[in-house]
Amino acid sequence: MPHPAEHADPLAPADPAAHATHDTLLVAAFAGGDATGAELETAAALVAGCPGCAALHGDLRLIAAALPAMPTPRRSRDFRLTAGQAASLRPAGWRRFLAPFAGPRFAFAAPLGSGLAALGLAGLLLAGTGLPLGGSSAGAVPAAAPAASAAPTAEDGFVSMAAASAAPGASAPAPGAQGPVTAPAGNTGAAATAGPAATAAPAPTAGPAGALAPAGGASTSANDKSSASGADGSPGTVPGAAAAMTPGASPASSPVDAPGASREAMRAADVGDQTGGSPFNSVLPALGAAMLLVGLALTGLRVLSRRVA
Amino acid sequence: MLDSPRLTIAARRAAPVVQDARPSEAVEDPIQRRDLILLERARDGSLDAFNDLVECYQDHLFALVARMVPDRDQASDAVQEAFFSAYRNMRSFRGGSVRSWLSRIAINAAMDQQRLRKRRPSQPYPELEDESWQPPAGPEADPERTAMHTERGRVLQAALAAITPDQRHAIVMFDVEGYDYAEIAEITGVSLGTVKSRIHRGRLALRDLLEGSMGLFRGEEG
Repeated sequence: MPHPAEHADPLAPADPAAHATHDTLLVAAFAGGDATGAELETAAALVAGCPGCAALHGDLRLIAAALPAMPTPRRSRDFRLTAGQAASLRPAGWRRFLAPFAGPRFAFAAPLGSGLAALGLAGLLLAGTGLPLGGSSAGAVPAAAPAASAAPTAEDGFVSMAAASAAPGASAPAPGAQGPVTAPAGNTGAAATAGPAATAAPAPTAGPAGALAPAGGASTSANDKSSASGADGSPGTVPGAAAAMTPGASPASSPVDAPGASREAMRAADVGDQTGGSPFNSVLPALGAAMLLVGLALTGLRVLSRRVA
Repeated sequence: MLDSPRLTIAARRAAPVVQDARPSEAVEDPIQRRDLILLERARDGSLDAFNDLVECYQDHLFALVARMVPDRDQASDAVQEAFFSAYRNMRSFRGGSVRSWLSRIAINAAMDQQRLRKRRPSQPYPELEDESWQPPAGPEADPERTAMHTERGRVLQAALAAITPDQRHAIVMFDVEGYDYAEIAEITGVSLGTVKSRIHRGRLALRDLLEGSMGLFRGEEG
């Protein structure tokens, strides 16, 4: 379709010979009542000053007026459905099961499912990153620093290397942290496994045996039994003792420590950090997974039923 | 007997049954209300109710589709497919005008037909003189005027068949069926600006095609 140069001067319509350069689409928009603002002024000027544009404008209006009056085509057959056609069009089998889910009454399913899936995914990610959610372990970290400073005061230079894994949900200060630590002498780098009730000990209340307040916020309660096994294989029990140490305290407090054991202890303390906390930390993954599954199921059902329908 | 109390009671009892009919009570337009009642019955399994709807709208839908596809057989197929689709998807009707709902289904069916047969060029629009419905001529009808009207419709139909399908669909929906820009944009899945552009360009194309026949539209001898 000819579309004359749009860069022609629109405000020079007085010259009829210039009609070929006029914007006919603008005139069409004007004829259709869709020109506004500057376009409206330009189109009006074109129609007012250019006979060609004026004729085009008039013709376009005539055509638009004639279109609704076109003869109505008459159908040549009847489109009513027969019983056989209707039966074949009714959904059967699993399509019949899915059919209700395609209806408007189930329209909430897709947005609800998407929302649930998103929340579930977010929950799983949150649980995966191990962010503390209102638990006590976060608060225990600052308290560990003074505990670490108490470490060098151990009487015999013995340091109990403990890797404590805190039980989830345990958050109360450990009263047993004040108890003495009894561990075999010559223990060179032990990995202590704290009991399931290991808790964060907020205060540096290590006993004279050099028990350390936990760096990762993990200590055993009085009722727990921590077993420490030394390099010599001799087991030691640390009843009610704080069984972890800060990374910073490790070299200072124990010259005989093996670096590997220290790292292990730190890693274990980290794990304790992540798992010990609020009940949310254990519920969140399950809840997130459930929401994700339900959300995906709802969305999938809706999409599938719409597609089938 | 006619003024017996029992008859009065029966008449009074009969009224709620009618009102009870459907959730369409809020709809004031009687045609729309009738459509909703029929559709509700069809949803409940009544094929007769659905066929009543078909009977109400088959002329309208065929006229609509026949202007959009260049072949009467294609138009018939599209309308039939539209009613099949409506029957299959009765439960997805979200309220509103049944006529608009059916029209949208028919327009989509027509556009699908066009897309499917795009690679197979078909016959252009048929001559409609012999089959087209014409309003009955009144006693004051001027034969010359009637002839001109017929001729105008013929050339317009032929010109409409010669423009691009997108432009034709937009023009038929806007100028013939009276949809607004937003509705057309929604049905065709394009932007509002595109709809306007198609309509304006389509009219320009029609004007180019009808340049030699514009006298018919001006009321002169072409």
